[in-house]
Amino acid sequence: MADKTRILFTGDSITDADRTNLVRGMQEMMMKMGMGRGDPLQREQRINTILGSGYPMLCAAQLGADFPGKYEIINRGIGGNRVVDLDARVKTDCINLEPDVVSIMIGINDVWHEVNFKNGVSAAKFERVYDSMLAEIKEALPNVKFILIEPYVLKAGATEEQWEYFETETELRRQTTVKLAEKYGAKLLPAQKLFSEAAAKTCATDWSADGVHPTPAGHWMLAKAWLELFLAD
Amino acid sequence: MKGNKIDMADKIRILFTGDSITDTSRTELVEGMTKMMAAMGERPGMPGVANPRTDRILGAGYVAVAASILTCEEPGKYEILNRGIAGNRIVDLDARIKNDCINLKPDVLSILVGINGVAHDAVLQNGVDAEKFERVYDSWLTEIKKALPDIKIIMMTPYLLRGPVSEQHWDYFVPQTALRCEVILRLAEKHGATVIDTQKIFTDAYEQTGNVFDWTQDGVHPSPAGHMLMARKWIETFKTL
Repeated sequence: MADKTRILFTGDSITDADRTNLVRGMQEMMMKMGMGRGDPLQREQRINTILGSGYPMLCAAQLGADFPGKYEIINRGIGGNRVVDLDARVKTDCINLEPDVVSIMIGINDVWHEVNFKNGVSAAKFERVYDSMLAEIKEALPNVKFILIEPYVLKAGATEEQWEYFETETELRRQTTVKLAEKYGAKLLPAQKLFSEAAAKTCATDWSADGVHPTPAGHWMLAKAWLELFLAD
Repeated sequence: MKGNKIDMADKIRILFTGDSITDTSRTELVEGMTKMMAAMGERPGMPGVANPRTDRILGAGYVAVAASILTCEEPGKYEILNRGIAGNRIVDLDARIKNDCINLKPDVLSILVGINGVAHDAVLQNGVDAEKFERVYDSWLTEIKKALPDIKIIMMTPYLLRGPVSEQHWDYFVPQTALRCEVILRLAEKHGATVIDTQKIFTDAYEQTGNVFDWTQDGVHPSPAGHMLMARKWIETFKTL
């Protein structure tokens, strides 16, 4: 295991993609079977086998098939997370796992939760917290490689009512992501361009059912772009 | 809404069914979604009727991988359903043949079953012997073909690698699984179905690296890489139909 390149995916529901639901189910089953929470190391190993059903799982499946034994993939995306939530768990769910590669996709809930719950994260604070989080990871793990995935939004069920707000505010977080990728020498996955172009070719709902969460097709589109970026040079 | 419906009707409906290898946490996620819908006062879906809320859930295995790749390559063309349930043997699939297969009117049906008929006998004295496997599988296919004469069927063979789940009963599992594979070849011929030799996928992969955990979690359930190999072969086979 020590020889494997450890890749950590983190972010919000797009990265989570049912993972936390399945982790919860596994933990409930262990409780029912009288195993309690198990010892912490075993618990972590069990959690690490659960990758969800989205682009991190697809990337893991493709890398595992093409380069067997070379990579260890971990997912720590949690549905509903904003950049401040990622920062709150930067030690346990990132630094302490000592990943070689950290892939982050964050920003849409910073916008969305303002619309729905008055609990968003402003563009200025998004940049400040994201920047400080990347700095903290880089300081703890100087050799870490970052892949930053832009937040994106399409016009569909969840976004069309407040479309102008979604579009403008997501664009601000996207620009921040581009800027920070530059600052930290990270590879950048231009997700907005990817989804906008795909939606223009067919229709938005082929790629995202509600304008935020990718369909299976959208997840594979993300995974393909991620793999291409990761495997380049 | 109406336009949507017409649109859906035009799509090619692909139904995957089988056991835990096909299920891959799907039923668990559907259960969670159903509870959430109930908490929000929404009515659960009707059995035997496609339900957009829960049908979106494909699990986290070869079905989700194949669906992701296929619908990305050809957007808008396919509707993919998963009705695999962990622990199922052919008799369990037969018990839910109407609601979870015929009534959904799939254009393409993909089935992977057989390993629990073997394993449940060794572990729980609740298996299905090779003779009954053939009889029930034959009748299952006959009933489906009669109800849906134009259906195209892909039959995947069960498979095994030597791992924590399979090694204890290895000498029983191997010949018994081979018998189920022979049955599948015979029935595919009889019913004009296409076979995927899943055992060959895993045997070849294992020979490549010599590490069972590269391709399975335990000798029976695939790793993500194993699911990818299955999905690739499945898509390749599907395109020859």
